[in-house]
Amino acid sequence: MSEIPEQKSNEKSVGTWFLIFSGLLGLFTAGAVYDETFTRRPWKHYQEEFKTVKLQELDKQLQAAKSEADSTQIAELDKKIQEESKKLDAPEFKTLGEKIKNLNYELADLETKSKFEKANSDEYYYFFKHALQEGHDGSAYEQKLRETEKIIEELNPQIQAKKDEIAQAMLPIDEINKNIKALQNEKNVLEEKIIAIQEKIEAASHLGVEIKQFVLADYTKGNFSDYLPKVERCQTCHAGINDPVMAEVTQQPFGFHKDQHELLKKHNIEKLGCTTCHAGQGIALTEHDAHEGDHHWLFPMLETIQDPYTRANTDSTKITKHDYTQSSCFKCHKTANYLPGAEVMLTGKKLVMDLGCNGCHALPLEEKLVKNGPPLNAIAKKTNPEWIATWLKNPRDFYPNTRMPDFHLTDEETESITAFLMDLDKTSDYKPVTGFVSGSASNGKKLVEEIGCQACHTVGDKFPVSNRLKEGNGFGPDLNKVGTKVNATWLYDWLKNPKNYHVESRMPSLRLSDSELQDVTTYLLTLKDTNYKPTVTLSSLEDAAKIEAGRKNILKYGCYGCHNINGTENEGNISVSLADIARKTTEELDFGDRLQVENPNKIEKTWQDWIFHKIKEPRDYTTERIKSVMPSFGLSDEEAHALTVLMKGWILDFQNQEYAEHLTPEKKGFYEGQNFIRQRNCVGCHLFEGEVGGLIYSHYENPDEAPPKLMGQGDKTQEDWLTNLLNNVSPIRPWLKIRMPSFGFNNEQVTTVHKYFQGAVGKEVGQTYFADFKPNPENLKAGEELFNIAQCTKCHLVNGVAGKSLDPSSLAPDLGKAKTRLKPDWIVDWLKDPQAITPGTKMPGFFYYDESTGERYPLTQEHFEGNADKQIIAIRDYVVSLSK
Amino acid sequence: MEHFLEQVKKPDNIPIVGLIFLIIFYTVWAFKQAFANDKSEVTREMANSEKVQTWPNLVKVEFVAAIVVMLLLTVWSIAIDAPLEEPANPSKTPNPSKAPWYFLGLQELLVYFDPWIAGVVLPSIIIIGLMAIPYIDFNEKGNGYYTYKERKLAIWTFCFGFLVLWITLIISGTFLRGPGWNWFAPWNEWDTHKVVALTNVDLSELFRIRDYTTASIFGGIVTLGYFGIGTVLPLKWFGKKQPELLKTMGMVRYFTISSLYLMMFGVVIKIILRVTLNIKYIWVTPWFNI
Repeated sequence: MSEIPEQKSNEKSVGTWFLIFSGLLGLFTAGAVYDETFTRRPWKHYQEEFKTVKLQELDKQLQAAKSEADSTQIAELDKKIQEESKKLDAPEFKTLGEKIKNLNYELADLETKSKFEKANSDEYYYFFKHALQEGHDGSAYEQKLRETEKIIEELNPQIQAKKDEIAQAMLPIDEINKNIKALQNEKNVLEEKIIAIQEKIEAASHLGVEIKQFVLADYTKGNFSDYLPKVERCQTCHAGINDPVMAEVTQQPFGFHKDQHELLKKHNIEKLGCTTCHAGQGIALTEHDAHEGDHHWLFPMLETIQDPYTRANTDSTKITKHDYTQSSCFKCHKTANYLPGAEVMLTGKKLVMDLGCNGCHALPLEEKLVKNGPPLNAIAKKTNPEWIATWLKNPRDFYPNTRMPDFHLTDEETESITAFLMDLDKTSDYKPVTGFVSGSASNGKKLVEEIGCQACHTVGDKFPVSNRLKEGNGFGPDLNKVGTKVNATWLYDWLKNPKNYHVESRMPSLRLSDSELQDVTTYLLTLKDTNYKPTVTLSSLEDAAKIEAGRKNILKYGCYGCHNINGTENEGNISVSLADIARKTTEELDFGDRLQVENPNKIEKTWQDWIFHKIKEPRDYTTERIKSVMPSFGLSDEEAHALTVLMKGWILDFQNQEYAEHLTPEKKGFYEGQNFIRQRNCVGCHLFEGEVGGLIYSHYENPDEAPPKLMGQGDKTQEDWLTNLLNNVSPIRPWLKIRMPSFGFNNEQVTTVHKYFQGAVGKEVGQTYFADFKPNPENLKAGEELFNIAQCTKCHLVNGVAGKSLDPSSLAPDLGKAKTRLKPDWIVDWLKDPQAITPGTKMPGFFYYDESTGERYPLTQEHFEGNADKQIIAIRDYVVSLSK
Repeated sequence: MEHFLEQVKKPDNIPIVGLIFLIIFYTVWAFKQAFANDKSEVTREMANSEKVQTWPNLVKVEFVAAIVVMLLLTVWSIAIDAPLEEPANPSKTPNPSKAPWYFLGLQELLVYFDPWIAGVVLPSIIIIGLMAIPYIDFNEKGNGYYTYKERKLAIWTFCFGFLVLWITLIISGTFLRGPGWNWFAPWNEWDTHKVVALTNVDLSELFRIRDYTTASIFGGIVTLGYFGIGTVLPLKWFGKKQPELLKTMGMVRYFTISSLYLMMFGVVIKIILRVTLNIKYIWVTPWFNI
């Protein structure tokens, strides 16, 4: 028989276990408290250290201020103050002091007595009135009330007498105190800086350890249009980020906001916070969580982001580490075109607009973007099928710098698209003008070099074009191989009137005569590609099946995104919207085979690596199953980097527009115009505000032969005149060989130009000038005399009549046009100081301004008693009156 | 392996890792005790007739146990932070989206059943079944001590229904179900883009029944037939072999017990059919699919 299993006896003592476990519990509870207080709060340590560093910094500044201050004078003042104070120790002042003390006691007694009586009086008054209100007999109270009032009345003169007595006794003491105070003030003025720093030290020595948190209550909206507060605690550790005292401190994390003090002036930290620009987890209080965050945090600090370009360029000469921060600028400055410090992002934006990304993708840009390429409906009349096929096969083989991307078409696809394009001619009603006969190529060459073709096109190898941005002579197609490409009739027609082939063409007319046109056409046709060899053999382009295949390929590759093609008017974007691209996670991006370990082109699995490589090698994510059709643009690492930086800012979050850049109508128009002058390559010839443009200036040795600078043009010329000029160009500077083209702008476009010029000087469009111009005869007479003294006609024409001019290149604009062209205030400013408006101008300054005296020297002493300002106005009035 | 270890180490899953060891420990321990008791010829009912006071005999031990638990919780909370994530975004759900660990068994059933069955009917039946235990358990033996001999059926039902179905599904749901609720072996990478060949057909299609009405009727016959045969055959067996037991049990109890068992096994049968034969539904009707 087996035993019952032994049961544990419960009579055993558990005291030992109790002791051990309670001890451990106590120990770990203490550990938990320590952990909570110190281990998990590294910012406490930072703040204590910050206090030390700040006090050291202030101490340094204090020493510097002390050494700067005039110590002998201060010591002298100290001595005087001491002397004055010593006077108060004299025996007579001691007895006086005693006397004043007693007087004050007496006064206090009187005042106390008065106070009691006043209290009683108030009480009786209440009972008296109350009795009246209730209908009782209040005469007893009234009597008492009158008694107290009488006492108070008696006390008042006594109190006043006492006060006067005290004031009288105080007089000699007051005198000395006044002296001391005056001396002290004198000393304070000398020690102003020192005192300010001492105050700062006082404040800093009371710095407590605390979480510095601030909340942007209305920065973003949630999914239900509710405001989501954004909480930031960055300044808990970065305590000196906005503290000018820490300007010299480099020790992190206490230093002042690095290099970007200018930015901080415009971007108030108190309003925008830190994560608005830098991203990161603002609420976190440890370095890793705040900067990089854990894997759940979608937006690590932008400084921690690295793409292949930044990884390759880590040297200190290129501060690529901060490039991604620029992506934040886009969120608020959506339409800005020039932002100091955001160059990389803006390069990206220019690339996006110039490469025509809008052809296939919806973009978060607010600019109006048009189709990037020429219409293809009548291309059969422009060129030949062999060239089309060769071009389609690989555009960069023909023009290495072209913006037309390479679609990596097969021969079959190329042939079918060529067939379709040749067939497309049937749908077009384009008819080129006839009349081309060969002219003189040498004269054509001369014209091409003189009239300004090179402002937009590359011709010859003197001014090579190097980047993919539509700028300067890279704006239009390279003309060096144009003879291989186009037909003579088409080219003649195109030069004569570009709008005939392409209504929305940006190519202007240069008002060439028929013989000039023939010369230029003849010259351009001589520019042939000597290495040109058709790469695709074409056969039977009329085959209907081939044409249909071509049509399908056009739809497949989205050619209509950039080119007008009849029959594709209703097609939409071929590819995805990029408006929210920055929010994509790596799981949503198809890396194809590029994450495979064996792949020699293996890339890292991050958002920025994916975008970077997608831009650089768009087809490399293609697998057997998933084909991509995005063409390759042949971008450099730097360009791909700029685009990636820009796209990092493309997030659709419901950002409160209060935080975005505030655009006045003038500024909005200015931005719009800035874009326009770039899109029309005005910047190729003219120099605009902010040193933008003037790309052709380097072609000229003599700056007078270059197109004029247009800074401050809004102040200078009248809107009506400019409208007239743009609609019907007539040369203002006849000595220039380069021609202002006729762009054929419509009303809206002309207004955009006005908006730019007026916006640039902060004014609104739409004023008339000199409408009721009635100068007084005295001004006119004096003006004429001054005009002759200054010998204005030596350089200027007047209504087409030249004076005794020096040489043609030193001619100046016709003054007969001043009334309709120039603005009244501008003429005055111009006469005062031409160099201030256009540095380097040949216009002499007749009215010298002496900065030391603040006086302007007159032209003569006779007119207006030597008043320069009046003389200037007189000349202005006379010049305006010259107009016929 | 990397992703599996990540899951094992995740603070969220510490209870599940603990659960594995505790379940094994207590099961083994309970069986050991039960077999030891079963070997003894003196029944526990007799041995337990002597009683002791709750205070202090039990309470003092419970008190120390409470301190130990507090100690554990304190150390745990210092050592490992609460696994908080970023603010929830209704337009971007996490992948995989997992239920709380104690519901992962139910979530697993969603793979094999329509939501209203997996999420409403089955949980309700589980709860009702658990509530019914005191009424359908007519075995008066084996109370208050560990025994196997006296309660074989109850113990095996528990082992199957709780340990095999419930706990296993929780563990696999925690560690082996990854993005897209796909099944990943411990050594597999949790690849969001994992593609699994999943093509399922209804049972009727295996029998080449194309017509919907016919398929509906066929499914009904199969399902109801399973329940009919599953009820009648054991009844006959009991009637022949153990008429006494059947009498004690009573018919109401018998039908309740048999339907609960049939449903429990039915769930397993459906899972097996899905895994082996890619069966989508057994019974298709316009109102519900099983």
